[in-house]
Amino acid sequence: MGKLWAVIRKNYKTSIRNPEMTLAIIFGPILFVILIGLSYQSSALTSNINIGLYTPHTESTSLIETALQNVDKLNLVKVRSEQECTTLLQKHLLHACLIISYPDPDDRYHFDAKMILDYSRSSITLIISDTLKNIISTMERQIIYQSVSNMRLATDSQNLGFGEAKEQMEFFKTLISSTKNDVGTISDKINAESTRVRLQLLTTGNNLQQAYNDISNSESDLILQQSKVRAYREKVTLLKTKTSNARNNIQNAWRITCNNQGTNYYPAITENFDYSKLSADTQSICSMEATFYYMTVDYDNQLAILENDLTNADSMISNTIAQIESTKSQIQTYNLQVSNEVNNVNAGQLNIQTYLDAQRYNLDNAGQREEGITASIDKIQSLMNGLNAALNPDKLSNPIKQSIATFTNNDTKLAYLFPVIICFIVMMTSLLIGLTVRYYERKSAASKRNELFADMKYIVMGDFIFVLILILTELLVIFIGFKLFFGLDSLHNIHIIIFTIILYIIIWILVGFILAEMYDSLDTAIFVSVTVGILIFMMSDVLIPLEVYPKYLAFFTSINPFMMLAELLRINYVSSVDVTSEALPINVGFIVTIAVLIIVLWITKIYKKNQNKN
Amino acid sequence: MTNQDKINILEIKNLNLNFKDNKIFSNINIEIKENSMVGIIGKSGSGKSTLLNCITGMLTPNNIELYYLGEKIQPEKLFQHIGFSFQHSSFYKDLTVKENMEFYGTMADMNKDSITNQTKSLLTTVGLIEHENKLAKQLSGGMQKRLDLAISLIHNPNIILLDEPMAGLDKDTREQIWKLLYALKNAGKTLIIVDHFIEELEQYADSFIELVGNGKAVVSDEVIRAGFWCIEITFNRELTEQESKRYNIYSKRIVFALKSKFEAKKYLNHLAESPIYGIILRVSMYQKK
Repeated sequence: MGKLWAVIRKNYKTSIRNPEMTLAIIFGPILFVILIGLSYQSSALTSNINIGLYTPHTESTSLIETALQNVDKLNLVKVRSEQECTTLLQKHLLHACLIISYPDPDDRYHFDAKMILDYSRSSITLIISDTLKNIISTMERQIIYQSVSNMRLATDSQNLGFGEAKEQMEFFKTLISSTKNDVGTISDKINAESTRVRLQLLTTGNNLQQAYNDISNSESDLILQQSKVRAYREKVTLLKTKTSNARNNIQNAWRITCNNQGTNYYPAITENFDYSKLSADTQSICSMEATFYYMTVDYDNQLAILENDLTNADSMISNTIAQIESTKSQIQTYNLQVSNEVNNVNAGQLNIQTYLDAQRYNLDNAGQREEGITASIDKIQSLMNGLNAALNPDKLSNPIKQSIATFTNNDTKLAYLFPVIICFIVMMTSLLIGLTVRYYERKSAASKRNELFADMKYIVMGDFIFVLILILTELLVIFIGFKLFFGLDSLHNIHIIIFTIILYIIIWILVGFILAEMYDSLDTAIFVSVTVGILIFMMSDVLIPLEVYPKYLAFFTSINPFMMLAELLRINYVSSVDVTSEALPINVGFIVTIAVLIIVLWITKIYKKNQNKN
Repeated sequence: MTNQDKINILEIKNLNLNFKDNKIFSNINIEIKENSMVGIIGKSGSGKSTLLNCITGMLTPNNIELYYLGEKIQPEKLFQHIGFSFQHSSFYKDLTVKENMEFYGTMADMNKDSITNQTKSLLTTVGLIEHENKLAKQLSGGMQKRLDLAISLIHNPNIILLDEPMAGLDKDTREQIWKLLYALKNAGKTLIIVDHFIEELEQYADSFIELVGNGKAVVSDEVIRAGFWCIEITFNRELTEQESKRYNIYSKRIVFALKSKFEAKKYLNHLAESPIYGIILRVSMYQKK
């Protein structure tokens, strides 16, 4: 460890005492960041873009003037002809030309915008197209302002009509809603009242029926009693007859007995009769007979009274029955009336309910129509809003708001190049510094002594670690710089990214070491390393799209370490997604690559050693 | 103790190195005495630096047997006993003197205290202690060579290999470096030097390994090119440190190789006037054949 540290410290000291090296290592990245950072500011970019404007129509010069007045941060130049514009473009005095012309001279609402671009400067083409789009948008707004003023006049009256219609619809809507509520209330009240009356009538009917039944029962009892009274009266009549017969018999018997006495006994019976003229037996019999006679008379009188009472009772019962019949009849009449009333109530309620249902159905229909009307009103309103919105020239000229999302907070249009820049810096600095440090070590005055004295593995490892620390320091400076200029908030999985970048640095350092071992001339080694770097850069997706390569070549480009790191950084930085799954196979692949490079380096050293021996 | 009495600190046996059909080294056997300074000489392309690389293990020959203090040792194990100073300074120019020392001390698995002490000691020895916080690239050529030497010694090796240590240095600087190397030898180190400055090398080296071509090597105490005028001076005693520094002579016997007889005589005249003339035991002048 002491030896390794000694080599690293030695490298550090020799580096910082070499002004050119110090400048390249320390100030290089700082200057690079400042340079890139300043040049990538959008204001700096756009203010240096020269765009030529030309229109062949005098009527359309107002469009050009509008663009000149309203488009800031761009250097817009009026040119006299399309040819002049093209010539200036060819001389790189302009970056783009914009030719405005009307396809139909009578139609001032349509125009053709022809953009002439210099595709040889592809890096700035995106910005130019973006700015040209802004200019055209400005012109579009100018035209649309004119058409909109006419449209606004037309739509204002329509807007008013729609407003009134909407108000009326709103009124009807309220009215229907209110009526619907009233019908509901009435219907409820009628239903309640009908139910109450129906219940009363049914109660009355029940009571009448009960009374009818009670009276009928009484009537049956009375009839039964009447029949009993009549039967009793018949019996009484029969008893009277019998009594009369008995009295006649007694009277005959008495007459017979008592007349023999020569007396008109009848008056005698009723009057004081002198029984002394009669024998004792006869007297006794006569007396008994007289008694019997009077008894039958009394009995007969009582029977007569009874019969009379019975007759009266019969008569009274008959009268009562008649009254009951009359009452029954009345009850039946009432009951019929109640039934009729119930039927009337039911029928009335049914009619009213049917009517109310019909009204409610009508109101529902009206409500549905009201919803339709409301929807129509809303639609009309929406159309009106759309129309109003469309009448805003700004919105009308840009109906679809376009935006290009940048991956940083700042609107730096070239910030998408950040991953590629990082990859390029990683590759070239690692390659060149690795090559230079190793080459100078190998070719230094001390190299012979190192071969004899020092353990070369410590020297090589020390050089390697020194270069790694150096480049990581540079990257740190660059990252801080880019953080200041671009912001790196969207950089996730920072540990994976750093680990992967370190792997790539190791790869390029090892490539640099191999080149340093292979060539005895620094010039040749640097030339080869730059060529290798450019080749790798060209074989990436940066300048030439990967898709245009033939399949067999695309395979090599797809495993290009530059390409793979750039892709990883791009996914992570631009798309801001988790790259854990993407990074793992890449890292494993690069560990294998590093192992291969170390083996190549080892073989190269052995080859060189044998060559030296020979 | 004469050179012959010293023990072999390093023995190289059966060194064979072929490159395709060319035999670079063919069964070479070399013995290096401890506490000696050995010069490796030969024509360009004869394999001087290659020989050093074979010793250090930077090159793997077809066959080599290494013995350190009489014991067989693998090249990768020999590393800890060897310091290597390269033809061109081999350290980090953008590190300070001290940082370079500390870096290679750490690479040699030394602990912090050892590094600190050794750095201080070595930088004092090579005369760079006052410049320890200077960037290496701010040092002069001679200082850089001394720093390279100091770095080679950071782990306190017994054998120091030097591949053309004087390359690109002016005479004064070379003299400084030679004195330093001589001082190291006096400090007990064994130095194996590849250098094109044969005259200077002959002045300081105890023995020589001459790569004569066809993969062969000749080991001798003296190797001077044919045609050179040699002045061999033998002193009757070892020179004092002050005398050595003043006259740039670091051994009891010294051979100067000069390109012409005129230069040789001139040097002799100059020597006759010097204070050390009195301690000269014998002087002879001859032309190498």
